[in-house]
Amino acid sequence: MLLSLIIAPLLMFIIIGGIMRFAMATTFKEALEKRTIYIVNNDLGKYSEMAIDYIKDKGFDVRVFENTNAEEILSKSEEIDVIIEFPKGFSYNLSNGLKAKILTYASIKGLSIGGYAVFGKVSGLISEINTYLSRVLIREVVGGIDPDFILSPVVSKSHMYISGKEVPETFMAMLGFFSAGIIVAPLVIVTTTIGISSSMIAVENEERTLEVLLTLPISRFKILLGKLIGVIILVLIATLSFLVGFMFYITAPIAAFEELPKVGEKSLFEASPILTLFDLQTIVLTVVAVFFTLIAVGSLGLLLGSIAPDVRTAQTYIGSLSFIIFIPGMMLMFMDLSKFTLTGQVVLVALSPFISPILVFKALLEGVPWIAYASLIWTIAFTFIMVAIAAKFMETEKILTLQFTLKMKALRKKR
Amino acid sequence: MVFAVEIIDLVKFYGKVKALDNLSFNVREGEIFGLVGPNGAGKTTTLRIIATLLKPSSGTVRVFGYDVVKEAGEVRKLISYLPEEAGAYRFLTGREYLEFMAKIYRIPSSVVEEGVKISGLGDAIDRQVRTYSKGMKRRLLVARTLMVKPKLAILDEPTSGLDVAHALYVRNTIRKYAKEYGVTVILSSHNMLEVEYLCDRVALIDRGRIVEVGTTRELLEKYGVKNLEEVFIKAIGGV
Repeated sequence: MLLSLIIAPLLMFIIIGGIMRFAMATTFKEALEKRTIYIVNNDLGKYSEMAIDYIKDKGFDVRVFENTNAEEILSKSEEIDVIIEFPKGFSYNLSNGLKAKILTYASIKGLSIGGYAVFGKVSGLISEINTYLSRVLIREVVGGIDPDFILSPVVSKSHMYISGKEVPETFMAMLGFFSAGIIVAPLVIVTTTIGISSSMIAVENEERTLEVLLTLPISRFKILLGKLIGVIILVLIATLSFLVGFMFYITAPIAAFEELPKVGEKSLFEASPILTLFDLQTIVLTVVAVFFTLIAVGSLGLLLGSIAPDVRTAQTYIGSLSFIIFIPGMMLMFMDLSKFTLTGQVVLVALSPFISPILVFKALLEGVPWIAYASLIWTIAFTFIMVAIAAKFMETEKILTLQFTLKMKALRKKR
Repeated sequence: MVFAVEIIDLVKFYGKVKALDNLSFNVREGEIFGLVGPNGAGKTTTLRIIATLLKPSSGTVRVFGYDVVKEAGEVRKLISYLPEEAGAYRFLTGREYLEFMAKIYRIPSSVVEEGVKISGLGDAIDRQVRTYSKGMKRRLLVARTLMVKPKLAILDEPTSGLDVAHALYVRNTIRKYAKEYGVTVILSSHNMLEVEYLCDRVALIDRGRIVEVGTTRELLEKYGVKNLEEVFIKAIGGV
């Protein structure tokens, strides 16, 4: 259990993330560090020469072939993977106010991201050539005016707010990862809790220790409480392990980019002050929601586990339950609460004992506080109901006889 | 007089099946009492009711005067139950398992050493339970049941799964504990020889009803036969 719940997720994410990070960093680095650019110049005019000089000025080692077939060179060479071609008439077109073409030929050696990285580097270069030649042409045609003004007369500056608090523009780049983490982590916690708690009783059935346990001089409620506390402690450690692994995993691509030589002035993925977004109320209520949800689903798991003869059967019961958790969970990942109809919002609240941490957090962040409060109240009530049912169930002989009764009913149905 | 176990008109239904049919008998304090009968006779159901695991459909069961339904908590303080098919926590060592049980019963940890001795497991007591054979596990469980010196030990087929030598060892231990510490024992068994050897009194049970109760000698004399097997066959009117 220790291995599967705590060590496995941590190792799995760290290994996958580490491989991803290493592979991406290596491939992109290799691609970006290749400073040789192969050019076929069939134009031999003024503007193609200017463009080639521009590339040389950028520090690239430029190899130029003249009056030849780019495709042929590419197909014959093992070393060359991308060629830029200035076709005949390139300079003529630009001199006469017509659009000119630059052709790119790329030979993808393998279906990896690295292949695309080389192509991406050349595309970026062509875009820079485009801007450079625009400036040249503007100076030649208009003169006296700053070409940058013509090229981009409007400067854009965005202000982004979440819950009325301004966040850096770079936060947008993190938003996808962030929302996925916020939704996925609680879903995993909830399903893990049901899984562990059901196994805790099912294993007593499987190992034939339940009968002795129930005759010990200790109250059944204490047994239930002991199991629940055990589940919660284990789940919290497992969650922490999962989150550490998951954060490592989702930040692996970012870390890979950060390790690359900087192309622009600043990195896209600056550390965003994400935590400052959430006020104390949001944090406290979400933590309360996590706590009660864990107890509620833990009790439900213990109930399910007690009707299963062994751990495997218990896991089968849990599997069929998980859609109740994942369907609303996935919907919340893609939709804002305001996009749901009132009926939809009420259904979400009704299901909230399973998804309360997500719902409370989202509702407070998106400014729909009634959903957060309703969810919390219902979750707390549901928790007490579940604990009461589980305690009552433990007190009765059903904990020992229900499996037998269910088996007999199934047999009768078959007949 | 307060009996260690007092059963009056006990009836137990599983759905529509009547497992126990107006069962009545008493177990006196300090005696070893045997429940003997074929499979499905109701031995385990009776022991489970005494152990507070199952509830009677009707009738009364008292342990040292405490009702097993209304005062189950009090009953559990007095009993120690060994189910027929019991297990122990796999990832604990034998010693850790006994220590865990001693803590629950709030008895001094020195008692654990007594449990270790009863089990006769030697060095294997410090190995994890999952490495034990069926017989070793059974000896550990018998040790767990007896080391707490309960007022009433409820043993369902205590020597089940044990070889001849170990079964004899366990029988002697049960006898020793019952006499030395005044532990009352109620046990079930298929093994008539075991019952003859161990029990002060015996109840023959068949189809949920008590057929006969008495000491082995009384029963042998009453039916004019040589052993309990023959008593049983005669009492139920043949096979």
